[in-house]
Amino acid sequence: MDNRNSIEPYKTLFSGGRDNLSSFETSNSIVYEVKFKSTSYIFDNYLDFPIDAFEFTISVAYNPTDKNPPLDPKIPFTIASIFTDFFQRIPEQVVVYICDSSDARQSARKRKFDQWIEFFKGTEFTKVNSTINDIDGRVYHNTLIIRRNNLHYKEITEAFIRLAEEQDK
Amino acid sequence: MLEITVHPHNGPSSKRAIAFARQLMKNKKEMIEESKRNSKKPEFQEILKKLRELNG
Repeated sequence: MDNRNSIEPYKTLFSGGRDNLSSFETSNSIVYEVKFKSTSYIFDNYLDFPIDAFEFTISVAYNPTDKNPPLDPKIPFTIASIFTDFFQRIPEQVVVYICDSSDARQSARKRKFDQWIEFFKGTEFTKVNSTINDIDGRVYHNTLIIRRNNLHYKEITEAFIRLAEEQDK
Repeated sequence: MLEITVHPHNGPSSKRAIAFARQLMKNKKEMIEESKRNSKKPEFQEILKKLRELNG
């Protein structure tokens, strides 16, 4: 039976700061940190206008269990709530996410990220998934999340797609 | 949520696309390392205290 509607997100604490830090503690006493780092500058060469872009990261800041954090059904709802709050603060922003490719488990991380934001409901956002192949064989899975009524929606999504599609001659 | 997937191509991406991805990866590693470092600082204990108050 689908009991999604009965799941409440964890309570979150927004501390702000340079990387717009939010934290939450799970029922296992694991503390996660969610950050949105300003990365507008990396779009400078790709767009003719400035945008508010932030890179999203989630990490375990404290884990007293000495075990890998278990799957926790409340986490996707909590992430969705943090995303929604952050987009309310800066409606015209875009968020990018890259999966860590340092140990070749980036595809698993991509699936986990997709699960986390599965509950990020509503039709007001667009998620663009892309892949960039490094010359050393590493594969970077990237995601762009943008509000559909962003003033530069078309230009930003097209630039992100073009970037993933282009190859040097 | 509307979802668009750009299908991957064979072979390396453009230099500027690779530079873009590497910069994001660098930022990400820095943020994760910083979280680990900060968890040993008094400011983190303050966050932990506030979270526990929130959770009752």
